[in-house]
Amino acid sequence: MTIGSSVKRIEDPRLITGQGQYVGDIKLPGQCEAVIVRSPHAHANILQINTEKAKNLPGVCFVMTGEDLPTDLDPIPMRLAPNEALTKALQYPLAKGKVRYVGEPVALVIASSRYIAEDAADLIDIAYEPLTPITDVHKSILPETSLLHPEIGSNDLFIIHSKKGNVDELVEKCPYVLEEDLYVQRHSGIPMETRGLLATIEENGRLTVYGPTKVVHFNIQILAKLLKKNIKDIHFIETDVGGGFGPRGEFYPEDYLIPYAALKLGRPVKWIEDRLEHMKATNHSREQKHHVVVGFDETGKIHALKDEIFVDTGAYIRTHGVTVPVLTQGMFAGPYDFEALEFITHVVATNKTPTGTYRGPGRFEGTFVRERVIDMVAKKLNMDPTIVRERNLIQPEQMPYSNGISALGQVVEYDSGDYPQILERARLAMKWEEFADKKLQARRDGKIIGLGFAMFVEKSGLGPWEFCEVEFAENGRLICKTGLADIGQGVETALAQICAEQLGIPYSNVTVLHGDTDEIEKGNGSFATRGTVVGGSAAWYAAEALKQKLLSFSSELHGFTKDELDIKDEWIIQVSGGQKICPLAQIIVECQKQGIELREKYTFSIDHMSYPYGIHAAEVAVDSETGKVKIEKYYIAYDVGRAINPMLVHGQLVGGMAQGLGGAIYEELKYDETGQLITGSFMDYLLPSSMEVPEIDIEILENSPSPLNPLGVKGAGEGGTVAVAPAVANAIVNALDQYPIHITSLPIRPEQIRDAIKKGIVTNEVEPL
Amino acid sequence: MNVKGEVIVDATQEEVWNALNDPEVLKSATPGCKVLTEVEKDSYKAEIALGIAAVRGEYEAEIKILDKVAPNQYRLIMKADSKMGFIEGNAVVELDFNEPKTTIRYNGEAQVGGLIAGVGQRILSGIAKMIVKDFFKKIAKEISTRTAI
Repeated sequence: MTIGSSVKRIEDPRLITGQGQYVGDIKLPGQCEAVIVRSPHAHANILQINTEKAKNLPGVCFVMTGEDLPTDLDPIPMRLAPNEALTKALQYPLAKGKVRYVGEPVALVIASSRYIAEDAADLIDIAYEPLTPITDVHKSILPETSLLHPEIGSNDLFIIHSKKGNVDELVEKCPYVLEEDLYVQRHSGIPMETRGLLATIEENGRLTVYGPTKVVHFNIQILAKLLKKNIKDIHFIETDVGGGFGPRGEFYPEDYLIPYAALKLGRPVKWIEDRLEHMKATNHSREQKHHVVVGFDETGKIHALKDEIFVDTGAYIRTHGVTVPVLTQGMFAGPYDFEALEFITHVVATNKTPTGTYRGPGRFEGTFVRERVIDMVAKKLNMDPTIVRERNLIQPEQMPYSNGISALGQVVEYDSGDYPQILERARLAMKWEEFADKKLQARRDGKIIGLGFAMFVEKSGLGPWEFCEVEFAENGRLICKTGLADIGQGVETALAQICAEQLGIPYSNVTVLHGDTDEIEKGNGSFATRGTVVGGSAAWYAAEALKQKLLSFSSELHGFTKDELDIKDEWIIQVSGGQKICPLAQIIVECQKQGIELREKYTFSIDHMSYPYGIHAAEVAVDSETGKVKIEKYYIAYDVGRAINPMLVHGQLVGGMAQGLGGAIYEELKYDETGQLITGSFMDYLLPSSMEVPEIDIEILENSPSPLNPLGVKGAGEGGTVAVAPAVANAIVNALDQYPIHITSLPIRPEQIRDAIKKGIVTNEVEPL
Repeated sequence: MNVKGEVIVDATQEEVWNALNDPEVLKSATPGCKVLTEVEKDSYKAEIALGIAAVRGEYEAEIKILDKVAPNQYRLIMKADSKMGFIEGNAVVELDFNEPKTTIRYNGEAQVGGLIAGVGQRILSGIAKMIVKDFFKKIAKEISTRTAI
């Protein structure tokens, strides 16, 4: 059995012996390098750009500004959740007449070396006329505020309104009502390797681009459309990447500019983003303000929830369209059965870097708000917050369960799950029943400790389809071509295991190819925790078709019916007696001799997503002097239906938790009131390192396989991230239950904790342990 | 960021006022000022080279003096551009004579944009305060040198 075992990654021998090939590693003869000149202003008219001095610098090959863009060029389109109304807020590769955020590309400089290109960039004179910057969503939508995209007619670019039942009516009937404002800060995925591209023109005139990833087949279509070229004249080659996380691999201004310049110059052009530009050029994410109203009764049962959400979407609509705000709504209710729900989301334009998805998009935000609200309800009722959770959970017999809200074009319908069981597991694992005593003892010892829980439901396996082609090569190795991309998640290993399981071969005999548009005929790519679910299922069926072909041939050759045969440990065997009939290798050779093509293709289509679920729990110790939070114990239970490779799932959860922890207490892309990004380097943008990320106890569960795919799998990519902030926040509030602390925004700063402790013990605010 | 402070000068209000309106004094008091040219009355262009950590670089600056109420107060507007970003300042300068000394009070806002805003934030307000303080201290020094003659 290959599926279900924690085999080592087939990607690793190459990567850990320094043989990985990142786009920065590729050097082509005659290659020149690009530098992008970016706006230092958040909002300004471009009065004049003088490029003469730059053009005259020896070694400079090409300089262009927004005025040099082809007049019939379209802006960069949306990939997900496209909407006609939003097309007026899309971004052009270079600013035309006006800049709308600090970091917006204004000019492109290409020279024989990066040094010369950087020097030439300094010689470009740009006269700006600063305009009033808009940095706050509430100010942005005031009638007197100037419009960032006048054609849309409002800075409230798009309103999403969803409802189930009548919230207002129910809230009125509820004996208790809670109203809160919560805030999730702007932050994003920070890959170790920044973005990069290398575009070159082949002898036959074709354009080859190294560096695209994530959605390679989609992006080649965008580029062909923008360049007005036949897609057959473009070749994308995915390289190794040092981290995806959502932002990386989308179609950015540079994804147009670099190939365009290569075509203009007829020579290779390379661009490697530096860290300082990465912080303001690559998609930001997460920034949302929530105003929640919750109606509940004395038992802790929540009957109705209303949330008005203001999403700070930044200066332009990028490729994700309104994916993040839509997912916030669709997944907001999490594992709970609320009778009435209503969401009004405002997608608001500001003079900040445009936004997109980041691991757990929409769910990180919604989960923080919801799971904090649950603890607030518990506090108000003087109840155990795990009991409040328990009383609101969807029961296993309610599955499949629709929460009545849509996301990504489909009503959210949870396919399977046993939520009460996973809560009980976490309570046991964290010794919740005994925690009150432990906390009291700690207090006597002068220590402040607390324990918090946060439950969540994730979504995975977004369709509409994924492609796989399998073929036995002449050397007997299986070549598996997938439409997925490798962004470090272990896709090669997982697909190799799936194919190996079907074909009775060692997973190490499988070579997985991806991301090369000449090799792989189609694909949707790696995002939305879809790889193993959709791409894995395509591989499963393609390998099965190949297996049937081999068995048919064997049955004819050896005089058995096909149903009697199977493949096991590289042998054709007779199922009933387990008798070995013939080595698989021999059958492969025989087929090849007879000209039988051992190749199968499969496109797996799926209409509905699958929904993994889990719980995070954190035990923290708070330093009363400094307000520093130390995580003493961290626990995640996650039901993924079926784990193809538990080690890979474990790795996803650990890495995901580290990023969630960053969002909980460290990371923030902070702007000042003039629209300047003031956390532009790692001195100010704090990332958790191995010093901050604790050991994590992880339980991977397979209690609720998905009925929607042949493998029963649900995705594992984002569940490590989405519930960290509320788990840690609830733990801190629990630890400081004697002090006046109310956590409603992220990141949670030590100064907030310290202030609460300094204010001293509030006797009437004791929360139950 | 807000920048405010005061410097006490051993001179009369008139002497201080005249110094504050004298291009030569402004030039020697502006930190790193290499060239200062009067474009029109109360409007100057300057080339400034700063050598302080996060704001190091060569700047082209425009300085304007507005809203004059002689000899009590004026508004000083400064805009400096460099390849590293830009600095803008807007301050009200007030004089208060209290025999035998004059107090120069300044209160204004400084804004920083571009690269220097992104990477130097932690130390910028300290640097801004230091530069401004330095400017007025040098003014004070210039005045005392003059009055000594």
